[in-house]
Amino acid sequence: MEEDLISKKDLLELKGISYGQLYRWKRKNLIPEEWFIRKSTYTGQETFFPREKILLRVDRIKNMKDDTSLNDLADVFSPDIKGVTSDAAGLVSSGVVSREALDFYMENGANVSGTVDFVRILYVYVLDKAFRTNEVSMDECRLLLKTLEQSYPKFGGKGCAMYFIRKMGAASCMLSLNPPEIYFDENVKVVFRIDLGACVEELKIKL
Amino acid sequence: METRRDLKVNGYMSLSGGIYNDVEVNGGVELSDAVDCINLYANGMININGGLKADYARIKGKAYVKGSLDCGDFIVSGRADIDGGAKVKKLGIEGSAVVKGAIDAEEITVKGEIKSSEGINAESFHGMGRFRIEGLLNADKIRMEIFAGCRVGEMGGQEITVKRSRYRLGRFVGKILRVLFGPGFHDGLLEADTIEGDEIYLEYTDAKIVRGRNVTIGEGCRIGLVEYKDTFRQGHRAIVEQSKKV
Repeated sequence: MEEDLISKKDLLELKGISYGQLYRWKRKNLIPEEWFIRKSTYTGQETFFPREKILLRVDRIKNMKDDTSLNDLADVFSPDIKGVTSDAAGLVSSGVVSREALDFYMENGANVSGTVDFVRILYVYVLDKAFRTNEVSMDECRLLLKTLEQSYPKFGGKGCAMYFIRKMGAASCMLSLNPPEIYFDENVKVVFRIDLGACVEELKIKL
Repeated sequence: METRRDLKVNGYMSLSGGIYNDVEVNGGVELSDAVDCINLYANGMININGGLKADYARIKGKAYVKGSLDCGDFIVSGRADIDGGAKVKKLGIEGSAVVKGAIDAEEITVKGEIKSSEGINAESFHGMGRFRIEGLLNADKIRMEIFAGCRVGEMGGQEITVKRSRYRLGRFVGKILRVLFGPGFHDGLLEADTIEGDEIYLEYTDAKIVRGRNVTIGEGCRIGLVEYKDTFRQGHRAIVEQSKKV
């Protein structure tokens, strides 16, 4: 599939940013090298970006840069999630996840005493999000958790999203790489979609 | 923590590399593998058959680093050859630096020559002399005084200024350059594919595309296409084939 692209010029115009800013972000690795796509046009060489990704990324950088330094931002956008840990009590007291979500996670066989590694914080965070939709039952959350635990590590830190769907009352959930191209039959209702890549970025700021 | 010991060489010696506190060389030294030290002072020649890691390194003479350079301040009077890319805070060159790979720095000042086979990232790049940079020179502030035939693949940043050096041979820098490149090298042109920045001032530049907010194309330039947002000024004796406001 040909990805929807935006030229550098249009991006600067649309988002009101300068060349200086864009090059600074590139230097700080806020925008990955592979998003810079060179193409020959009738005016010569031009650089293009994947439209959706770059627009989202620019918005994030602009929204966050007031209270975060660019170097910290670079860590946020790096897909590397190793080495980030936190303790369970701190997670709840700092409001990252709710007590209910953590309790639920522990009831389902997870041992979260002491420090918790990042992946498991992520699971609780996603669970918490699912709870907050008020659309899923406890049983369905168990299904969701099981899916995450079984399949999330297989993506190896790549950006993916979770879909929770329901058909004729029966629930199911799935994980898919971003950007997804999926279509369901008309009886299927997508109850919610959680972007795990975005969750990782949010968590890194909160922790 | 391991204890770091000083290494001092007077004369010529071959040694193995390793972890040191201060390394001082007067004369010449050949190190058979990588060096990790706090401070390095070399007068004469230093050959490292591996990488160099230091907080501060000052070389007067000639240095050859076969691996990568990871350094706080790296100050060279003379010549430095680095084979595995360079990551430094402050790079100060009087003379010549030839880097195979990319250069990642905060501040770069060059009087003489700098070459990189992959590109340069820096907050500020202030250079006087000759530049050969394959790939992208990405710096917030780029200030170049060209003294000889220069070539940069692409340039990007906030403020970009390229001028022909006002120094003539006979001055101190001229002397260095004459020694390095021979006479007649002092009236160069900068060749580039694209130059993009917010504030751009160019002289003696031969570029296919220049894009910017405020663009001034001065004496001796030959530009294929200028795309500007706010203002565009073209000096006399400047050739611009096409310009458009975007």
